[in-house]
Amino acid sequence: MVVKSLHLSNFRNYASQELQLPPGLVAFTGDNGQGKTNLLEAVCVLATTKSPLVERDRELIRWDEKSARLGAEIELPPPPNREADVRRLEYSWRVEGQKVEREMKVGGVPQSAVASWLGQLQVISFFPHDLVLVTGEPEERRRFLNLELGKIWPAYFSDIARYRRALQQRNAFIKATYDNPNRRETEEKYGSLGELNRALVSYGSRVLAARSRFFAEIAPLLTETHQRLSGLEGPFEVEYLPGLSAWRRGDESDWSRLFLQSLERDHSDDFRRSSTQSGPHRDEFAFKLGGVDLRRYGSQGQGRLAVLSLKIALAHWVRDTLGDDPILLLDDALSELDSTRRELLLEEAKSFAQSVVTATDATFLGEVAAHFRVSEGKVEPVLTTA
Amino acid sequence: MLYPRPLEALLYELEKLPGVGPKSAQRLAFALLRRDAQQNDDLAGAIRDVKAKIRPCENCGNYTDVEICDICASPKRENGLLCVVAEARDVLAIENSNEFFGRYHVLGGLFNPLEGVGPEQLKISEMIGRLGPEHVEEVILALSPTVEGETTGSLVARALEKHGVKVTQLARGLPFGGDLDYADQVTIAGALRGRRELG
Ligand SMILES: Nc1ncnc2c1ncn2[C@@H]1O[C@H](COP(=O)(O)OP(=O)(O)O)[C@@H](O)[C@H]1O
Ligand SMILES: [Mg+2]
Ligand SMILES: [Zn+2]
Repeated sequence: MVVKSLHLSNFRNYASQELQLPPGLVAFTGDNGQGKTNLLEAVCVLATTKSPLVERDRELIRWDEKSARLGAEIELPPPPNREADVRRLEYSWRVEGQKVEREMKVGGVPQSAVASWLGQLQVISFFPHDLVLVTGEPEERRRFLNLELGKIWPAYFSDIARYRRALQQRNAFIKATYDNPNRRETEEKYGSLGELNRALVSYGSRVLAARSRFFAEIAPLLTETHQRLSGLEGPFEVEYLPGLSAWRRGDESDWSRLFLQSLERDHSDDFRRSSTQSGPHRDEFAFKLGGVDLRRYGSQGQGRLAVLSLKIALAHWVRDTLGDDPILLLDDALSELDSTRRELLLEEAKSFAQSVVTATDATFLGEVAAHFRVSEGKVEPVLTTA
Repeated sequence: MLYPRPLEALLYELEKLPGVGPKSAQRLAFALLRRDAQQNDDLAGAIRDVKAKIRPCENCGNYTDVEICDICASPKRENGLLCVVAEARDVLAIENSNEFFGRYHVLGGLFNPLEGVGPEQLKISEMIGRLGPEHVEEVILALSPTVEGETTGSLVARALEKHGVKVTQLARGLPFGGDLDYADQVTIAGALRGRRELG
């Protein structure tokens, strides 16, 4: 898909901005603090309803304003012998006292469920902040998985929601019965723990299976992408580390069985700690370059290249899975790379139907489909070949 | 705004009701003020009676004003078919569908450790006690398609295992969209940027 046009009003430092975008590589350049990142953030919000950079919607609304609006026209690849389909997305906020009301419309029709909105616009983004995927806590990596898999497989979201609920129930049960041996006895008579385990395993094993399928599918794409980008021979891999005590490297045969075995094995541990030790809520994955774990031993540059490779491989995976290109957004990805890698990255970006890059310096951009200059929340075209 | 004290008291009580906000409380209060005293006395009486006279059926747990509810007492109801629900109000919902002619059993809640409800608080042994006398052949589980509904369903199913009755489940009436809405609130925000950890 391609974003044909973009509209921002009272979003961050933009008062009102209309933009027509061509397919291919689109570049936004400008000094620091002018609004380049804000522009890519706007596209991400249109794709997922949330900013990848801040928690609170309030921060997205222009200072001293009470409402904000984003709009986009998305062009979908044409079905055989027909004209391309255009989809119109509108997203708006209104400040009501302490609350911020949101409204989302597709083709003018209000949407009540975020689930029906996700997928309308598929975006893969890289922001410098994403380095936390390598350097940060496991929670960052699980959040990444949940968002990226949920965007492609909506059922994954409801499995995660149910899993989380079942986990809360199991932990509450453990806590209540641990403090009260009487209650433990009566509830064991009913086999309550067994039922809670069964629920946990039934939702959790679907989450585990989805994640392991994802890693299996992305593995070859990732190794290739990293090789193209870095020119290094040392194999780059992402290794899935399921949070199950009974799991052994290489065993991905039967997630339900592994999960149940783990719960049995952890039984006394779980009661002692009043929480569940095994499950996808303890999943993790590792970035490995030539066998070295980048989470711990990587340099800044290695980490950056690892995350860029992951994002680009992800975009390839989305293309393969959906049969349509996602839009690739690269914020400030070029500045810290040497000139060879910068060119390689731009080549990667050009292999997608549309990609958007930002940079402070226009000199190393090479040929682009469109080039805009950003200054104080205003965007001016520099050159268009279209 | 200042109201005379009796009006203030009425608004205060009305607003405690589910689905009644300040605006609708005002509308109701002014409507009550305009009505005959007699009508209001009837309403007050009905409110008092509902608590004083309604109690759970001793057989099934449904609301009744006698010992055994109309459904349990009716000879027209099919013996042998028992529909298990969480709350008495679920009986009404299923009755309104005019599709079910067996009897009910109200569990009195769902297995929900987060809210301190364990299986011993549910009327499971009472249900087992009805199987023989009422010649129950099939138990239909009509519980909500939530995590709690599903765990309760399998608890009940397991308790029935050795009694040789057929256990079936109500076809899921919840539209697919409803499921996703659930995922919406709980998950999507968290997955995107929220600080909530999985679990
Ligand atoms: N809610 C807001 N209202 C107005 N201006 C904002 C808001 N949020 C951020 N800004 C401004 O946006 C600018 C940062 O824009 P950004 O897109 O990060 O710049 P860059 O071009 O360096 O990527 C800063 O000047 C900041 O003050
Ligand atoms: Mg920036
Ligand atoms: Zn009854």
